[in-house]
Amino acid sequence: MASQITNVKCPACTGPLRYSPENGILQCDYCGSSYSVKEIEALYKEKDAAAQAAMEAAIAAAEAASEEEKAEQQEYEMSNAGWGADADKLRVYNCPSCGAQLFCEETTAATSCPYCGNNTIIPGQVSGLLKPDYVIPFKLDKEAAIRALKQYYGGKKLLPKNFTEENHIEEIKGVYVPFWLYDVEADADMSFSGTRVNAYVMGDERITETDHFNIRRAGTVSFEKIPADASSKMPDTHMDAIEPYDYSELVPFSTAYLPGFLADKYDMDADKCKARIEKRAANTATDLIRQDVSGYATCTPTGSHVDIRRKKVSYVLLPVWMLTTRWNGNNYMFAMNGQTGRLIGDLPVSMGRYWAWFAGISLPLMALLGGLLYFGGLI
Amino acid sequence: MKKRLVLFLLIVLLCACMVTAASAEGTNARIANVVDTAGILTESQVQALEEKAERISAEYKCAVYIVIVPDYRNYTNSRDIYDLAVEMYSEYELGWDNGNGDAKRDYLILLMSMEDRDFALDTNGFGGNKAFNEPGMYKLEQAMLPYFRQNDWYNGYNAFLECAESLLKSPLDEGTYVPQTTQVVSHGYEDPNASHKNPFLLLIAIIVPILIALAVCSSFQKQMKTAVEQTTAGGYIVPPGVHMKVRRDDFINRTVTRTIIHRDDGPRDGGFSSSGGGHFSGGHSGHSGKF
Repeated sequence: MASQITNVKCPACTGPLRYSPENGILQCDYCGSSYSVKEIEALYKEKDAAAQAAMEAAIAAAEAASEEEKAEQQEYEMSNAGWGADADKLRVYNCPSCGAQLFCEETTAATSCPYCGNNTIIPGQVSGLLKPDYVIPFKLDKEAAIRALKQYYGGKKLLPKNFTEENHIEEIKGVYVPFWLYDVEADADMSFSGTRVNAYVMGDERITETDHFNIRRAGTVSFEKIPADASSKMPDTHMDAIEPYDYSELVPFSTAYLPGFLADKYDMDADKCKARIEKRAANTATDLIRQDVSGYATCTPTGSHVDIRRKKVSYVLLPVWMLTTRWNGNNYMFAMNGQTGRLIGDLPVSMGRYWAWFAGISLPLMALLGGLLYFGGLI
Repeated sequence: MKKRLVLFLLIVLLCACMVTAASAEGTNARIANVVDTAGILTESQVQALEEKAERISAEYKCAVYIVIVPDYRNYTNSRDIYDLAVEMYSEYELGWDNGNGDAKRDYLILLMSMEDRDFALDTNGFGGNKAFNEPGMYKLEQAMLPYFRQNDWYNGYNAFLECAESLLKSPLDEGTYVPQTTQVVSHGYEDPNASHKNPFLLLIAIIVPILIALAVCSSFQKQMKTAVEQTTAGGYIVPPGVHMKVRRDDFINRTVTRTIIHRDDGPRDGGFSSSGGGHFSGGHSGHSGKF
């Protein structure tokens, strides 16, 4: 039976190939050979197609089989028995290089064999309707991510003193995260009540004339490629915070960019993610419309209506370095934009340092203010 | 000359509507509290409003008037309805007369001119200026104008009277409103021997540094939490940005506020915060506008 997965191997020595973010080519760490993305695409085109066909056949067979037949299929690659409630979320593949069984989540599109180290792609997860339209290849490597994390610790006044020394990176992985990119138009219609004030002095009087207005503004704002991560495994806060990506580097998707990294297919469709995008577009549209109202002393919104029209949705894979560290029994997760290097993540707060800073600022200020008021005879 | 004659006729007309006001101090208002020469109220409505205005006037020692005219320009040379309100105060000796000859009689008048839908609010006297200060005037407008804009006259005047009563009552509850019959000796007077030391400044010297320290520490704390959800999409706008389809700015009305400017060149009204100036008699403050 044909394998559902392919190992991207060096044509020269059959060692594992990996995509190199520094120079955008695939490199063999064993013999030093390097290949362009196009060369590997051409080489693996047939293998990928065969793997995809094998996967489709296995899925069709699994769906057609009765409960008894399913039990018998434990020996086949799509077996999932023995994993209890999580069984439906797991898939088992055989490594084409060493034959080891690879247990993957049902969304996994690229991984590596823990036994032989070969970088493995599951073409069936990124083909047909599941094929991403575009990908932004990794530009920054693992070392860049580690350096960025160390820099991130710097200048954090409330970071516990021993955090940097005792905190160790538990896991670091480069992941192509599935995203939806939405093109939308927001039609905003807003009304306000505003005032213009004219004040002048006449004789002994200050006369203030206040003109009251009803104001209405309506307009359309077009947005392009607002991203929303399509993986339920990735925290939305982390994925939002590493924006933006430079979309000028989007390239048509190819599996040749995946070796050496993990990749997932989406498990949240475009409809599920649209609410977040609509909220962002509506907020921005109303802000812009509000800014169009000028020349008033006061301006108070009295009504607002926003319609969002979805124009186009693209499915893309974007590069993210995920770093997990452990300190004092707690895990800390950081995410770095694999293209721009923007790193974010929540850090622990030392309450001792917090109160030390609080006292260090407030007490001298109190003494200064108190002294000024006392010697000024005011208290 | 013609306008003077019309003014005289108006005086006669208002005097015809005069009612006998009764109070412990023997107030003697020259006109009725509610005068409708434009004929927008029924007789029973005028009667009901009159009784209410009289009760409020007597209870708070501050005469409250509602005067409705077809066109204020028939009664004054001024181009502002507010001027007519001020003229009426002196012409008809409006206000609560406590019998001690004090020229500053507490009063509040709502003068409405139906021709161009103008209105003016004017107040005078210590009690009037305290109760119907700037926020008070604004509150009065908020209470009555919505009715007037729908030509709901009776309810509008009712709302005006009720709001006026609540404003007169509210300072009394706070102990700041003193009817004119009470001597206010120390108003605006500062004891030269009094200490300038203010214990609140000590509190400020403690609280301000705490607030500054909290703000700085909060900004430090914010640096520790950078994984936050995006709520806007400003970075994804297609140039040139917003395409405006509707831009409408509709003028609704104009309100005019007059405030006296205090000069340091002499005593004025025992320290009132606002009083008349220009061609008006002293002690006035008020609003005018469209309804």
